[in-house]
Amino acid sequence: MEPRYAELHCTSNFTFLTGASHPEELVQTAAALGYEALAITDQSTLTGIVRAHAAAKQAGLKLIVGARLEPCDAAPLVVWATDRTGYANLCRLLTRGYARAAEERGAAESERCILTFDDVAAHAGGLLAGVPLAAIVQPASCHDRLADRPTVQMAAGTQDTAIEHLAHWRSVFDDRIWALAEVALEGDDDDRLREFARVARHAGVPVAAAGDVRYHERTRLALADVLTAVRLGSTVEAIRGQLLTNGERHLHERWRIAGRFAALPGALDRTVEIAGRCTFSLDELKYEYPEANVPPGRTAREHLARLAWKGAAQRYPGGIPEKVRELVAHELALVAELGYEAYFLTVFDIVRFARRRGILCQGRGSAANSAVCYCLGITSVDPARMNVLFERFVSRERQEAPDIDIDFEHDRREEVIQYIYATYGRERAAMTAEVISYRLRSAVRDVAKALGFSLDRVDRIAGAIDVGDGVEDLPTRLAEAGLDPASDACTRLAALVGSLVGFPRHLGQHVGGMVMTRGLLSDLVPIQPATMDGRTIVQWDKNDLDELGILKVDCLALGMLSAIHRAFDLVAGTGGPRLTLATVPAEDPAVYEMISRADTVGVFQIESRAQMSMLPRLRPRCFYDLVIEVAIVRPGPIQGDMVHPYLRRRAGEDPVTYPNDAIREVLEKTLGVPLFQEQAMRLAVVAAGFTPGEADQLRRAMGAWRRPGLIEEFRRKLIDGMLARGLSQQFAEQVFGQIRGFGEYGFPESHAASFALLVYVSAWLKHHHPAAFTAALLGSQPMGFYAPAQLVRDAKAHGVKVLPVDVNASRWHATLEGRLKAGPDTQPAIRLGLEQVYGLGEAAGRRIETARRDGPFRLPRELARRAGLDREALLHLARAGAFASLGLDRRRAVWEAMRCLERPDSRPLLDNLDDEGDDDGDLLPLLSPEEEVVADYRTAGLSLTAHPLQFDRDWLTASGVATVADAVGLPEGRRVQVAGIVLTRQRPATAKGMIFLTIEDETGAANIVVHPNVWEAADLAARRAAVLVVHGRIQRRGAVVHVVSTRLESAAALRPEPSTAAALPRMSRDFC
Amino acid sequence: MSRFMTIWLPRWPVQRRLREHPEWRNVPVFVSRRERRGVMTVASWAWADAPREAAGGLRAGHALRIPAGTSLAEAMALLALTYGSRACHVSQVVPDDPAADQAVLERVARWCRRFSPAVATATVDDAARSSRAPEADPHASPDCLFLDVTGTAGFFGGESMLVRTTVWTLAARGLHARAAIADTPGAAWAAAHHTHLLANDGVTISPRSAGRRPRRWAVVPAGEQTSLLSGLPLAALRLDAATTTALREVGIDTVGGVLKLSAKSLTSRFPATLGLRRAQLTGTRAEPLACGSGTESLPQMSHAFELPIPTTTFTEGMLAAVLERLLTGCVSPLAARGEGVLALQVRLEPPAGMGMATSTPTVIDVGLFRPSISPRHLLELVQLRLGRLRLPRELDGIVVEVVAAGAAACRQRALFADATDGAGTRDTSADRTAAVDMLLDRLSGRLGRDAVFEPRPVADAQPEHAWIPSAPVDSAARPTTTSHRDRARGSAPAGAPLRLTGRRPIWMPARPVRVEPLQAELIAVTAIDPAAERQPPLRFRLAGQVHRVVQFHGPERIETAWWRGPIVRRDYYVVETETGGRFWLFRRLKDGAWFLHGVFA
Repeated sequence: MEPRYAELHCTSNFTFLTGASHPEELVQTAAALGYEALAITDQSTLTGIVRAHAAAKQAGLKLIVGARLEPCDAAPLVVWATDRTGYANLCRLLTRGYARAAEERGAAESERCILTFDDVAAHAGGLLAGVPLAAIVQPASCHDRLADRPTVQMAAGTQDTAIEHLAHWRSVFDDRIWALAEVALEGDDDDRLREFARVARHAGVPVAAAGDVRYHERTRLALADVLTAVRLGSTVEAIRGQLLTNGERHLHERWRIAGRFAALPGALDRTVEIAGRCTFSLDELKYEYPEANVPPGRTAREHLARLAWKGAAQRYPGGIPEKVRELVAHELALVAELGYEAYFLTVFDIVRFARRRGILCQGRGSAANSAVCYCLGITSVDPARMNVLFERFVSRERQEAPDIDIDFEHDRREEVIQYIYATYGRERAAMTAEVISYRLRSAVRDVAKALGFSLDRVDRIAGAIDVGDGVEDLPTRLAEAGLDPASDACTRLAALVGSLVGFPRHLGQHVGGMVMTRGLLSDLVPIQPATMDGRTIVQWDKNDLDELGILKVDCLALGMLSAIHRAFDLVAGTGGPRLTLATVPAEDPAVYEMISRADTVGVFQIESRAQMSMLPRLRPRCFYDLVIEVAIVRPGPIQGDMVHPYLRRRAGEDPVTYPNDAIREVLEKTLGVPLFQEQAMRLAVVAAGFTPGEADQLRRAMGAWRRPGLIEEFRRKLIDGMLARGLSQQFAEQVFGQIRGFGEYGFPESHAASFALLVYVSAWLKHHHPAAFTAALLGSQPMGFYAPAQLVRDAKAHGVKVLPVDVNASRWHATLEGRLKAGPDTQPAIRLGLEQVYGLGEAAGRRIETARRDGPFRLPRELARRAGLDREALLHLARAGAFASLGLDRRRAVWEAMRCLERPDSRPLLDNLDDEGDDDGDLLPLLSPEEEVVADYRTAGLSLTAHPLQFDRDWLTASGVATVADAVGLPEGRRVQVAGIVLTRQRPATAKGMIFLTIEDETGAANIVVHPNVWEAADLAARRAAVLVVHGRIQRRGAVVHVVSTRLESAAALRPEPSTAAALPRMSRDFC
Repeated sequence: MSRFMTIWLPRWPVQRRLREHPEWRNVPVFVSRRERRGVMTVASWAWADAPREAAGGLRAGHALRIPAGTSLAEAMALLALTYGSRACHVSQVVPDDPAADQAVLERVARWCRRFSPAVATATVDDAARSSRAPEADPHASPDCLFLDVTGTAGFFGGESMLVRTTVWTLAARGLHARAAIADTPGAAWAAAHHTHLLANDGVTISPRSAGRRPRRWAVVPAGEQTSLLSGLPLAALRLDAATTTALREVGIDTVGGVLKLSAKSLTSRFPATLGLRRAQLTGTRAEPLACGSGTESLPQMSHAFELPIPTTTFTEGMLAAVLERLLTGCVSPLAARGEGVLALQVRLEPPAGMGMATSTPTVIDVGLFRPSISPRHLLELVQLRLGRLRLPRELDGIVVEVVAAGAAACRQRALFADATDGAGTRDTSADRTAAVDMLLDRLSGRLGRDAVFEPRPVADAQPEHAWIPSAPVDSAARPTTTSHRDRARGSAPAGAPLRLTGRRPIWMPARPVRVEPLQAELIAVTAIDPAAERQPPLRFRLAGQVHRVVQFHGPERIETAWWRGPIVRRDYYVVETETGGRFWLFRRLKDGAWFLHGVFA
């Protein structure tokens, strides 16, 4: 009979760059080998433990929760949690270690855990310990590597230290400690085991067998070597002396282990005994919502209901509509039934704080768009304005925590996060971790470096990889990088990369997920400092938290909220009404008219090229159309091929049909085409008989992990289910494709609704207050698709006057000059802010603002003195032409600025005696108009006087180049040449390598479509040129006109000097 | 009135290499530099004999411009665009080596002493600047020689003859140079770099040569530099990029523009360099040459015997006498500062007249394992090599240069020799070491340096890769200047001891020897018996002889080397046979075959 065994010392890949197998792989292999139990003992971390736990539950294996510790003043040891107390102690111990590392070494060392013997001793309750002997016992015999010297017994002193180490730990753990004997066919295993036994006997500690496992099977040896090389920042070849010399550190068959430990009777039985004493399972963790601040004498339920009804009364001053009243009552009942009051009150508390501070915020997520949330002010999407949305805002059948994300103003979110820390305490609140995993590009980079590829070669290979590439594309990419994919080096590279992709690499900070608990958070999970100062993160990511049912609230940052807030302020400041998200007049037909014209530069979400070309086809007429618009131009629906069927059905070209009534119910509001993530999941339920839980698993399987086998399994299940319900194979395949598309890139309806509100508000602002809107956007850069130059250009096209930057007029951000009066043509003018001046820091800009209160500046030197600017800052201002009000043109201003001293505070006493209009300034040649414009672009990224291409028009016309305005008027298929400054370069993952360019000349902007082969053929010119000449054909789709390019040329190369095109810097925002 | 000549050797890093590898003239040569992030950039490049016609029918010279600092990948793309991808395949890319560039430039400077005794590779100001901030301009490496030719022109028939002679003499030696003479080093520098922009009136310039190559030389008459050079671009002022940009920004883009500025605007607005450079150009500030200071670095010592002698009348004894004198001259100053010779070069220079095709000197390189201060020992080593060479028919001179020196072992034998020597002839250990060194030097003199080595352990799990041959150099006597060759070969990964515990034999065959296990004696292998995978054959046949194992240790499993080829997987055993032999056997895990990989003493 095979012996019983439990592996107690096993490192997963969550000991970053050391372990070479996923926890799931280790668990599954241990289960297949018939182990009694498996302990995952990563170095100072529990990050991998939840995944192991889920896998172990599925495989029916007992999982022991443990960790490997390396105290700085004692021998390393492995600890295992026996019960809930032991687990809490382990979490606290690790939290302590990370906190100490942060104190001693600063935030840069946030990944270190520094522990002492005393720390471990103080938290030893409920923990068992194992001391790996290999780490402290020297090899019994030492051989000179080249000479054959006789075996030398180690000096007795060395082994005595080992005994002391063991005895030291025994004084803490008493009868809860074992010495772990680990051998790996290193030539003298039996000698070593004898030595281990001797040391343990002297220390009075029993010996147990262990494997010091690093990977689940032998084939991972090479990957483990690569990881070691990456960890040491070197190549495998260079560190070959530090590698393990064989691949024995994997999970072995039990009979083999028995053979190996034959000299140590009882060592295997002890592992089973230890496993038997560890009864703790992660299932025991009970999460408790934080206590909401409920006034005394009232229950949380009463309090929530009271707040909700009070809010409802405020929201609907004219009386609560019956529909809303029903919804609120229904939702409150459901919340009460599931016990989520504390959760809603917590979110309410955070939102209330933000509102008190005047921070705009907007909730989203399934629960956020409930009527209750509207009444509580968590969202501004009026339930009366929406149709059915909330039929399952909180799932009763699934035990899933409600989901609310809150977007805050980008530059003020930190206040909210610090409020949460302050209110709940650092012991009860921390941020969610995000496990950063190897993607194809990073994996290729690290493996290639470790294999000793030259750094340029590594760059070239990594550069050839596109975002959407999978491991199967690697051979093609290698060939593109000039390597032979069939060569040994490349097959090795590809194989290693294949295993490495998906490996965790380091622990980052989730964008905004906050975890809050009632009890101590460090009893639940270890907390470590994040790299960002003042932040702490738990060691689990959002999937882990979901798995254990732990609540988190996502506090996200959204630049558009900052811009909207700024625009509201500007409107109010120029005599307009004081607006809020909820009070912006709803359903204004003029706004929808503007949106349908695709006149949406700067509008939230719908300003991209793809959105703009969709708008004239969809022609949104009401709020729900915007919700669809936001959701439809996403990779999910595009990849699932849902866009065109929807458009055709909406236009009445295709009939709207449903295979059966259940499906009609799900898809009715989107004309039979699933556009939202929930619809796709719901479809799996009603059409294929999935349980809601299964549907959710399906979505996750499509998204995060992408294990081919798993997806295939779901696919069969889905299609069989649909066939069994009498649906056609074709329809089934189509639904599968749609769900697959939603996996990672779908948009839930509730998110789309929240975003749609911001779309509407920003579009409303753009239509009614274009000056305030543009100024606000300029103050929130970088944001969205367009650079300041295009925003300004668009504003001017809408009749807004824009004034240049000037030290005597501009504040840091763009401001409005003049007041808002009745009538459409009396917009205030935008005064560009000092932020437009390249190279000028915000602190310097603010000082200028302050210093100007004492009166206007008359000389650059005076400005420097009063605002404490150094010579560089002054030069930046001079180059940007900000001294115009001082009567200095750019060149004169630079000449004056140059005279200032390096540092403003070190001026000589006699500075004032310097004569004024001193010297050679008059000798300087004046700038020509085109030099002025080029300088505008170089220093501020935009010019208010002219468009640079104006100056090149003559030779452009002579070379047969048309203006953009002329070109877009040409009929379909006509050959054309246009030239323009490149504004954006986009290569969407969904467009099969197509590149979309936007170019602009003095008459307008044109959309260029470039096939990959045209792009490649024009490589250097197309990738780098500031100004392009595009040869192509006109393509018309409704109101949208594209130029499909056949050839690209750099204008600078066409006519090098002295064209304006050649002097311009690159302006484009690149998304490829 | 002083007169200065500046000799500019354009793209010097490439030129230097073309001299060392004349065969590279037919291919593009890139000198590359590794930037901080590991990106390779072009430090200098040239294609000496590029095809006249580029790919698209463009004139090649105009089509391709690759400024220093371009990434190598991009440079290759540009090259392919102009000349087709074949040009990339044949191109030579060599890492930059500013120290060697400087060293060879110094040698050229030394050679140029025939035109003037005062030759320098930098002026005093520039030398001081570069020692203060060596990283200031990473792309500037010296490529000029400055000569004080005040009063020397007469020997060459006037200044234009001098500058012409210089350029053509260098050309005859395979160096492309441009040169100019003016009142100041700065003006000469400006003129040399912009010969193509100088107007013919007033300036004496070389006639426009065929093939539209730039003019090679120019002479700016005394006192005329300000008027004649004012049309040159700012680059002629030897300015850093920031100052140039600042000047351009206010619309000044010629030397003349700078000359026009008042001293006040100059000092209040621009870095001090600008004023300095202007003064250096006009001559209001003298710019002394940094002669002598830079030449000490390499070679360490040099002595030359410079009389033209026909070798036919030259006996071996005379040659030896001359060599010994030169060697003594080199060694004694070194010995005085406690150093000895580690490497030296003897050059027997053939006569190379002006304008004649160059003929290469006969070169004898001698490397030592331990610094030596004995001229006799050195002479012996030179003679070992000399015996095998055919001498040129005529000699122009003999040069001995010490290329590398190291701290010599300190010995005080002379003083207390009597005390230890009283009993008889007892070797001191120092003597023995010296004797070994002498033996090593002689052996490598005869067999070649690479044939004499000692094995050094390397941390590598695969036994046959666990050592490398290494030159038997005492670590205390590492040369003070590492030779280029050592660097190219790469030093062995030392340090970090291997964590293996197993034994290693004293003798290893060049390749593992197949061993035939005798099956009958092998214990039956069954899947469930854990002992079976851990046993060597109990009898085996090796070279026809049967051995019977009485005792064994192991196994020691090795799985390694996957990164350099197929993975090596072996189980090693130490076995002791009946006859007392101790063998090191391994089983190849792939197929179970047995091999002998060593014998213990």
